[in-house]
Amino acid sequence: MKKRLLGKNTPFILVAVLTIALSLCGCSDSDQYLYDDEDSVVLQIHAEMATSYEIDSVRVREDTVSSKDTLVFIGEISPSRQAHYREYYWTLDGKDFSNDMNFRKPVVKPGYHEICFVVMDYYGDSLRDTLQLWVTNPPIIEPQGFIPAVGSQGLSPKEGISFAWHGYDPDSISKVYYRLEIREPKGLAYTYDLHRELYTSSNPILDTLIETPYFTYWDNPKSYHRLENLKFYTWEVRAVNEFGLESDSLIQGAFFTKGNRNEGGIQAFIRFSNESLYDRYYSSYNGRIRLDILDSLSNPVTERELGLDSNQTVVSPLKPGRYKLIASLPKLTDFNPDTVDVVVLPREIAIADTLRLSDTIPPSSRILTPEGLLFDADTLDFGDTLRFYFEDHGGDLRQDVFWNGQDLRGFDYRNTVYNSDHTADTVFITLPKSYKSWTHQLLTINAYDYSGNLNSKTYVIKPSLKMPEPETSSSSTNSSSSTGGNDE
Amino acid sequence: MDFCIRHRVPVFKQVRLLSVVAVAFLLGACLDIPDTPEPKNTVSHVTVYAVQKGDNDSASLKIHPESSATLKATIYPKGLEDDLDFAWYRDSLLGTGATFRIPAYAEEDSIPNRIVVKDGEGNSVSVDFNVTVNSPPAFTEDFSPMQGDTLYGSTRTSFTFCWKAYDSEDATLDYILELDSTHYHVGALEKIQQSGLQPGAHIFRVIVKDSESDTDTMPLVKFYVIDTLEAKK
Repeated sequence: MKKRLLGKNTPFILVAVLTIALSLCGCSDSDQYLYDDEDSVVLQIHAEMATSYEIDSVRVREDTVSSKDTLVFIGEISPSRQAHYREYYWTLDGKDFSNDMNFRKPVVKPGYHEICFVVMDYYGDSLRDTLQLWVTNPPIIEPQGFIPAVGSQGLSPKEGISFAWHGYDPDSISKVYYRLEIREPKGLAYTYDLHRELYTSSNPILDTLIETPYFTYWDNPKSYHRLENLKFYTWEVRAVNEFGLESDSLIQGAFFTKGNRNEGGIQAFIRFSNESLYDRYYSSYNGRIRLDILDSLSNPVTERELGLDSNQTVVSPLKPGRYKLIASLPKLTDFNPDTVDVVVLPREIAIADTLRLSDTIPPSSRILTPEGLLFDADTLDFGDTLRFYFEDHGGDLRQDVFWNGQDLRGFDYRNTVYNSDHTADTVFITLPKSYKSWTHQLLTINAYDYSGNLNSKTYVIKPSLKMPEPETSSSSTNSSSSTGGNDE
Repeated sequence: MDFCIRHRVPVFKQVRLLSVVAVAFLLGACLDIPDTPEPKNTVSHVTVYAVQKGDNDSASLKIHPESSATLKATIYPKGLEDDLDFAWYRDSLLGTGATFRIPAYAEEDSIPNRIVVKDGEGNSVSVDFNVTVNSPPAFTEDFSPMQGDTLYGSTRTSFTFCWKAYDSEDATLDYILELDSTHYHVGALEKIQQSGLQPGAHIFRVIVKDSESDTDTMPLVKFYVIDTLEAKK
C-alpha cells in the first residue's frame, strides 16, 4: 500500500507542498532582512590604556612602562548596545589577552608589544584598534665595585682620573647611558638616622652623558671648570636607558686630588651640638664659622671662614707637619670652640677629627615692666599684657606658652619682638578677660635655643576676681551666710 | 527484457544488495595490508662547524688563524654520508668530502663559505656559512705592579694598576680587573688608580675579551702593601 502511494502520488504531494511553501513565503515579511543603508549603524571602537581607573589618570595609546607596572586597558564601542556587535576581545601580539571590555593586567615581557582591541559584528566584519607598548626594566648599576674607591687620595687630573663601574640593561634590549657628575661639595647633610652623606649646592664641574661604563677625566686648561690640586670632590653616576627609565640605584663616590711633593692639606668637618642647627641656619645674621689653623708651635698659619650652610672644608696647600685646628662661632658666644690636632703628609689631604661646636647654655628669661625694667619674679598680677624678655647667644629662640598646662600654640594674644642682633626676644602675652579668675592660675613658658637648650619657667598669676558675695535674700541663705562668715 | 526484469526487483532489495557490496569493499580495504614503506633518503638539513685544537664546539664557526682547523659537515638524518657527495666552495670548488682542512694562516679566499651536498639521483642541498677567523687578544708583559712588587701607602693611597693587551682585529678591548676577590668592570681602560688596600699581600690580574668573545687572562700577580705613611705619623 505504501509502495503504491509513493509510486503514484508522490509528484502530486510534492507539488502541493511546494505550492504551500511558496504561499507562506509570499506572506512573510522578508524585506526587513534586506540591507537598508538608512537603517545601518556605523560601529566605532576606541582603545586606550592608563595606569589606573581613576578619572584623572592619563589615558594614552602608546607608552613605555616598566615590567613591574600594572596597566589598565579600556575599550569603548559606540553605539554601546550589544545588539550592534557580536563579540569583542583583546590580543597581545596576536595572541589572546582578555575577553573583558576593561581590565587590569601587567605586560611583563620586555620589548615592543601591540595590544589590539577587536570587535566583531554580526556580519563577520571586525574592527580593530591597536595600542603600542614598550616594556622595559630600568637599567642596573652596581652600587659597589667601582673605581676609584670612596676617599681615594692623590688622583691627578693632569695624569688622568679614571672612573669605572658596572652597569647594564637587564633585558639586553635597550641602550644604556650614564650620567656622570663631579662636584665640589660644601658639606655634609645628615639624614634622620644620622647617616651622613655629602651634599653640594654648587654647579657641577663636570656633567656628562656617556655610553660607556667608564670615563677618564683629563685636565683641560681651556676649560672654565677644572679639578684643582689638593681638593675634595664628589662624583655620582646614574644609569638611564634609551626609554628614559633611570636606574633605581646610583653610585656616589668621593676623592681627593693630588698635590705637589711638599704639599698637603686638611679636610675638616664641623658638627654642631644639635644637627638641626645646621638645617635651620639659613640666614647670615648668625655669622660664620671661623677656622683657625695653627702650626705645632701654635703660630697662626691661616684662617678660614665658612658659611653656616657649609660644614666641610679643605684647607690646602699646607706644608707637611703637625697642625692644630680651632673652630668657633664668633657671633654665637654660647658655643664652645673646639680644637683638634692633625698631621699633614706630603701629597695627601689629612682628614681631621670632627670639630664639634656645642652650646649647653639655656636661654635666660626675665620679666619686663612697661617702663622697660627687667626683674625676676615667680608671681605676677593678672595684667592686660604680660611682658617677658628672653636672651640667648646660641642662635634664634622659640617659646611655647601654656595656660594652666594648656598649650597656647597659635594663641592670638601673643606677640614676639626680636632684637636686631637676634640675641633676645621680647614676648608680649595679652590675656583675655575670660581668663580672669578668683583662684591662682599658672602661666608656663618654655624657651628653647637652636641647640635645644630649654628654660622652663612657671609663673603664678594672682587671683584677678574677688570672691563672689554670698546672697542674703532668704533665711536659709542667711544661715549659710553666717556660717560662711564664720569661715572668714 | 532484461531491463524489465531488473526493474521489477524491489527497491529495498537493490539497496540491501548495494549495502552488502559496499561493506564488502570496506572490509576488503581494511584487509589491504600496506607495503613496507621505502626508507626516506631525503636530507633535511646540513650543518657545518669548525674543529680546532680539540675544540669540538658543534655550534662554532670561529677559528684562530695561527693553527690549522677542520670544517666538518653533518647531515640529518644521519647515516647517509656514504651515499652523498660533499663539495666545498668559495666562488669556485675548493675541495670535496665531508671534512675540509683549513691550514694555518690560510688566506680568506681559501676558506669555503658554501657546501653543496648531492645524492646519486642528482638531488642537492646547498648551505651558506661564514667562517670567522679571529685572533684572540693577548696580554703583553707590560703591566704594573709586577710580581712581588711592594707598594707604599695607606688605605687611602691610590695605587696605579696598568696593563696592556693586543688584538690584531679589535681596536678596543673589554677588561675586567680582579683585585683580591673583587671584580671591577673597567671597560677599555688600561690604567686605573684604586685605593682601599690594607697592608699585606694582595693579588691582581686582568681578563681581556675581544668583540668575538675570545679571551685571555693575565697571570696572577702577587704584590705587597706597606703602610709607611701611617708609620710617619
